[in-house]
Amino acid sequence: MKFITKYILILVTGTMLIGCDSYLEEDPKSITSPDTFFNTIEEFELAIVGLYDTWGQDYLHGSIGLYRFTENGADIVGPNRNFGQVEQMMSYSLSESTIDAVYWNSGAPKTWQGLYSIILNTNTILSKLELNDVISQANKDVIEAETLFHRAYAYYYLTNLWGDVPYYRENLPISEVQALPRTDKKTIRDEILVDLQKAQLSLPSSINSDNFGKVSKWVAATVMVKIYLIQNKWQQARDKSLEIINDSPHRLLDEYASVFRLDNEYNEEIIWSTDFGKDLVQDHGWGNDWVDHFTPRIRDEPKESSKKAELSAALAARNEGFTGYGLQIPLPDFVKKFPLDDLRRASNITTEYLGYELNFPYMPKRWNLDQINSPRGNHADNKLIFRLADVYLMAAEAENELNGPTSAYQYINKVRERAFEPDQPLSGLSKDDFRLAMYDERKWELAAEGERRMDLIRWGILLDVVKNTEYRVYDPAPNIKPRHVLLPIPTEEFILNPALLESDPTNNGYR
Amino acid sequence: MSSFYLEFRPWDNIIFKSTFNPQINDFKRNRFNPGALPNNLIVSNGGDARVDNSLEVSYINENTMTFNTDIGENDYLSVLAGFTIQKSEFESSFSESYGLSNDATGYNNMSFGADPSRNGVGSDYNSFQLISWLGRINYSLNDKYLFTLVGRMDGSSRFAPGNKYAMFPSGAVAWKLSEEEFIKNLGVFNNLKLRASYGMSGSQAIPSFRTLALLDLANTSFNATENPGVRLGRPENPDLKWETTKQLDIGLEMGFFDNRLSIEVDYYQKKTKDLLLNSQLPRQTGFVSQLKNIGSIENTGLELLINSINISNDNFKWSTSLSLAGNRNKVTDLGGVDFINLATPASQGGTGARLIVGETVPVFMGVEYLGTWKSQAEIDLAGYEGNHDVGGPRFNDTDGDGNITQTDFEILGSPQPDFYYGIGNSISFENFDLDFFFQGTYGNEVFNSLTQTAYFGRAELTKYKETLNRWSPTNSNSDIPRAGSVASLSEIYNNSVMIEDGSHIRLKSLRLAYNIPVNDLGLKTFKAIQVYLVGANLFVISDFRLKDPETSQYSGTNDNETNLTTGFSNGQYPTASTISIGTRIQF
Repeated sequence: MKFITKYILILVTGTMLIGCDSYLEEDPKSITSPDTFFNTIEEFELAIVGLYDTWGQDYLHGSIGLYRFTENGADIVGPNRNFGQVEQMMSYSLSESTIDAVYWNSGAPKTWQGLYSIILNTNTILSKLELNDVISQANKDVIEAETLFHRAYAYYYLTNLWGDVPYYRENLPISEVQALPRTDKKTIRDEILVDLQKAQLSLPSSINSDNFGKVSKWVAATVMVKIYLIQNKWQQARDKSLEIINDSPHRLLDEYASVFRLDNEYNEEIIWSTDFGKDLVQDHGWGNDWVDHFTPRIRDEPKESSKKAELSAALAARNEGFTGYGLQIPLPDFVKKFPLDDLRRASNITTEYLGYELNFPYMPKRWNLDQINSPRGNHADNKLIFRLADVYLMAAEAENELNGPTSAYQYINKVRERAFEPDQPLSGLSKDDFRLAMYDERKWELAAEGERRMDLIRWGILLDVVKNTEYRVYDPAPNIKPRHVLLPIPTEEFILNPALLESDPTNNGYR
Repeated sequence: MSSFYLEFRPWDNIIFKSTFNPQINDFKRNRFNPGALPNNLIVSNGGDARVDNSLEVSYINENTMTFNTDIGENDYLSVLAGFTIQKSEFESSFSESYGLSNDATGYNNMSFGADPSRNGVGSDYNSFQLISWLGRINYSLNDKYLFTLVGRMDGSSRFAPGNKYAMFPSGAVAWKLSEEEFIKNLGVFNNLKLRASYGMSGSQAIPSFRTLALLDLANTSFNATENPGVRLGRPENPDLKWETTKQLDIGLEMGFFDNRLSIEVDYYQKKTKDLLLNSQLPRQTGFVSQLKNIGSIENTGLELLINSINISNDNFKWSTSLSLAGNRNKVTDLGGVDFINLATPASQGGTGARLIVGETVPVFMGVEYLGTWKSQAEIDLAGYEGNHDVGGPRFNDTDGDGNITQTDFEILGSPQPDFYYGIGNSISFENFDLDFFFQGTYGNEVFNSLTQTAYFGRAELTKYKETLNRWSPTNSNSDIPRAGSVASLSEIYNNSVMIEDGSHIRLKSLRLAYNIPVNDLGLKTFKAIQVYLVGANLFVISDFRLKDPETSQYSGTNDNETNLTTGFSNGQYPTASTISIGTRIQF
């Protein structure tokens, strides 16, 4: 009897325990877990859309974003007053202690994290794609191409800004990723070139209007040209840029100012823009206030402050307003040196508006005064990333380095055609002079489009240029050091992962 | 809701008992901010409205079997076995609407909202389950020596399979010294008891579903039209397990003068390990932090409780209770890192609270505020970079690099009081009863994150009254920054002005009652009638700018908060004062 009771007890207890195990199962009805996701093509598409959203955040292509490092601290734009978010770049006070600043939701540590968030997400998508046996191979190729592009583009920025960085291409566990040391930027660039070539192969040649803002194969090709130039692989750079010029549907517009017109944002010259929309609840967080950085604020204007009310009324009558921040405006140096007969000047510099003389110069191609369609903080203006004129100038640069100016004129003069009336084609330059002319041509043509500081670094002339540029508010000349061509890795990162100091204990020369 | 129970005694000394305790919390909140409010008016936004609904349904079911038996004359054994199951389900939804041009309908018709980019809807679901198996043996020997052994196994749905259950044993002994002849002979104590216990307990104080990774909403636009998207929101951590505390308690109970004076002294030492904390990850992982079991903290404390019956006559009784407690804690380990950042209470102000190995749990961080710049010469001499002007705020650049950044942060305080105290009195005089209870803390700090805007911030935001005395050319000795000296909140890191003394004393409760002398009045139907007035939180005395230092900015339930982020305030409503009047009638 005792024996039987014992067994009944064990049986009862056992049943209860099994029951309890299912009782303690979680029912996470309100969250989406990646474990149960990535089944259909639509679900992969959602995850890819998420990558674009990350690019549009204010630590990457949204707001002032990457311009902190790609435009500020060069010779084109800066703020009209002290502005903490760019202070360390503009005055070259950049150091380990200032790099840590996180401004609300942005700053270098957030940029670093945002780029790695892209890498994490793309690695996840790629590994889930490999396991998926429902989606057809053709569709898989397209998903893979787009995902590979985004991962490569994230590493492109990481290597540009920090040089050697932690590098991973697999969906690794966190415990492994968090201990990764830095990988040589040369290795990373070589491998992402392969990825980009693969991406170019399967990405579409043109984007239908529903998807304006996504990448085509020509975006991948453009990034390849930029990497080839960094690597001084002139032939590949030239060939790839010619591929874009000859095979893509993109062409130069006849008029420079039209490239930036808001009623034709996806014009033929534009290779890629980060899309923004007005009145959208979820659109890149705060990213779409980037326009406000270029737009004047009325408290600074006009020069004759007694006419402030008059100017406000004149603007209001046009449904316009100086409702921006005035934080990205042409530097005195840029205003002085921009050729007066260059037709591009009006798009890049204005010192008066509606007949009122202004306190500061502004850059009309990037501002927006329209209060109806583009109110403060709620702009639909896309942020331009790549356009064909850039590719023409890169072709000219590569060809000149490869064979001298003879065959390079055609590419640079193509861009200059619309800049002067009558035409002022370049000719008769030495290889070195051509290079110098190309330096300037890129400055006038692509001012404040996110290229300048990376160009100066690539050409090895950042320090010279900064020391010889007339700035406003800041005086970087005495501060800039050779180390400033790279950012220091944020200190929090190597405190948490000491392996980051293994290959370079100086942290890019900052310690 | 009330509870139900079922009791069954098959034999005299065995009791089966099952309790069922259901609870339903239905919450609804309607909010309307008219367009005439200054902050809506200034941007001509119109009004805004929001309706919140939530429903929480939960139950606890306890099942126990108790077996009592006498062993011999003075020995006694009691055995309890049981299990408890608990489940809670929470559902909520909200909708909000902006740009309401019309104040007439308020939250009752939110379709008037004219600002679709800010209108919002949302819903949430949450649930958790708990199971506990419990065994307890009480053994009393000679009525002098008491032994208790407890073993419990707790299971929580919040952890992943394999980590759901944890065993928490404990044991206690007590020795009634006053039953010993040699103590009785002293003739001093009516009661003298020494007790000690040692045991483990667990905490699962994390939100549900936290072992799982999450995809966040990441919508974006193509051709200016919104498209749905997702992005990895947080990493999974299937290794999460119970946070455990090992606690040693030693207590002494003493009673004198017929127990008119009783004193209790308790000493405890708690060692908590595997803290459930959001710990920072290197951002190269793509994440910022991960909820982990990490590190350990130690708490040591001493508590003193004195109860005294001062006067006890037929028509006048007065008793007093006094409690005093002090707790000292420190972080003993953080799994290899020197500190963990806990919260950023002020917008753009940087880390406000940190766990640092060897320091109190937690400490407030910030830069030291040195007052205003008094002259241009002082600014030039200090050699700070950036723009600084006379009358503007000056912070201490501890690392001397010319920039005020988070590397200049120092420990500025801690929400841990030096001691807590409570004083209660109970007086009854003829037909009146009066009870009141004061409680308070001494030596704790409060992090007032409103100070960033109310003391330093820009003009359009509400200011402290003291800023009337701010620096100006005619008031150049003031250490309150001049108007307009701050262009951006990012210039104002957390700083020492935000740290305030949280010491306070509060009249926690007051009760005045009158017993109507029913017999004298010949009201024979009634056994007793009492009318009473009860007040709670009637006043608090403290130097804290926002009046009540016990409010909290963090509820402890959001992802980036833990139950360690205490002592922050940014102007939450103070604890409500309530006064109630009632009568109790017995027949």
